[in-house]
Amino acid sequence: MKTPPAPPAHAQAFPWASVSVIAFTLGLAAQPALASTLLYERLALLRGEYWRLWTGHFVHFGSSHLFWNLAIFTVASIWSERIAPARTRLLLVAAPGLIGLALFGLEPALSTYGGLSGVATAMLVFLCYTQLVRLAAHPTTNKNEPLATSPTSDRWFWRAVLALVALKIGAEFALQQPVFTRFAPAGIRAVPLAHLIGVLVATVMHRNLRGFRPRFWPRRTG
Amino acid sequence: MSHGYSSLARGFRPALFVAVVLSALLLAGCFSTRGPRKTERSSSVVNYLYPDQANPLPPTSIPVLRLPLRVGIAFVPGKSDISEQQKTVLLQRVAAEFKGRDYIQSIELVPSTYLRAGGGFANLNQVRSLLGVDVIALVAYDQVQFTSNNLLSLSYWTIVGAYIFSGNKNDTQTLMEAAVYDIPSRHLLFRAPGASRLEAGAAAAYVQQRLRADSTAGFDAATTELIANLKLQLEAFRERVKNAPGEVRIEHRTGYTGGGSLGACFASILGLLLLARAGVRHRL
Repeated sequence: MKTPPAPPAHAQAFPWASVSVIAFTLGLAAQPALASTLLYERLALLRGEYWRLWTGHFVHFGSSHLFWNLAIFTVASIWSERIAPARTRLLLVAAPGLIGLALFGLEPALSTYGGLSGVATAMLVFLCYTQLVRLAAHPTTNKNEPLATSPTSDRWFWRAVLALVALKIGAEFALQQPVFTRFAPAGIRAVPLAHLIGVLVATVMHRNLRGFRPRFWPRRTG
Repeated sequence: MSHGYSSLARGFRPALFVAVVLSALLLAGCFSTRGPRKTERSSSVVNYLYPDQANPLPPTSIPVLRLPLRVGIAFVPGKSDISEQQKTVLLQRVAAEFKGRDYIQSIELVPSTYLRAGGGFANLNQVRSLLGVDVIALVAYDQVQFTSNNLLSLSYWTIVGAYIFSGNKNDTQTLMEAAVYDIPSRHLLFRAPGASRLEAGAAAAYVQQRLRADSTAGFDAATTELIANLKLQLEAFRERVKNAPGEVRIEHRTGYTGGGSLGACFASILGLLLLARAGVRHRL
């Protein structure tokens, strides 16, 4: 008797963690009064309001700032959660706090910070790593199951995305001004350090948690 | 003659006469025909900052403004106060006009409960510690409303006329003033006024209703002028600081506000890469 083939991973994992983060971000945008309680503020952190390390990323300084950050985050995070759900969810929980903590320690002049781009960069880089590893594990092209394994020609795409992220961060550090973006409210500076830390967090998580699976996580059969 | 007089005397009923006179007096009382009435609402920056001081000492230190500024805006406590809701709406209008300037970090609306009558700079220092503001715009007001009667008020004797004819004339004069202070140095940085005058007629039955509406409209119009004048005074102050740097010292805060942003261009390039990837996959 023939065993039916296992459903592909993307069909099993509903990206509820990504959807929750997106809903939380949009909720905060709809309730601007909450921003003062959740924004990353150095003085408030020194007073003991540590939740701001995590929540500051979800507060934005305008609709354009919110839209583009959320657009990239939505694609990267949902895609990533569908192919590597456990690690993506862990990254979604850990990355905002780690980026916030690093900003607190490494950038003492930063009094206020907001924006999802650090986390979005982490998700994007993590997605690239995950896809490149999958391609290395399945080097053959399979046109009949395009979603199960990607064609080998996709490598150029994921490498190009990684190069683009590296180029953006490098240029922002070199020029000391935002590249590819402009803030609507005057007086707000770009923080490329947040993007760099996002890349580092994604790299560390990817390298050290490649086989990560919580004990309670159901194992796929077949 | 005597017959006529006696018949008139017989027809005279004292009780009826008294009732008619009393009714007329009561009606006249209801729809008053007294002279002009006056209602006044006011608050004063001087009374708030320098209570019981006839000759306050001028500040001696030079104000130091650390940019970007954290600004507070508040109504000075006054007598016959206007409602908190009305104050908030007016302050929000002023604050909205000055948000988004690169030298202003934040504008905090200070609720009236934070300020006490005659609180002075001690009270302002408390607000400074609580809300983290360095500069405060204190808004004071003086509104006077007069109500007088015109010829149409004679129709009030008919009772119905008190609901139909505008026999009252209302005159509402409003003056608002914003004085911007640097709290640590106690220096007045600049000030700007706004004024309005409204005249309206009303029937006796609707006088109070009309006066309330005129009061709100008066504050609204005065705030519009106040905002325009504040903008002019702010620009004049900036010029003054440039031309006379010894008057006010400007410093920049060590901290800055930062934002993580990927931006439309970055997203567009990613989108183009995705399209190219889809094209390559399609060809395979």
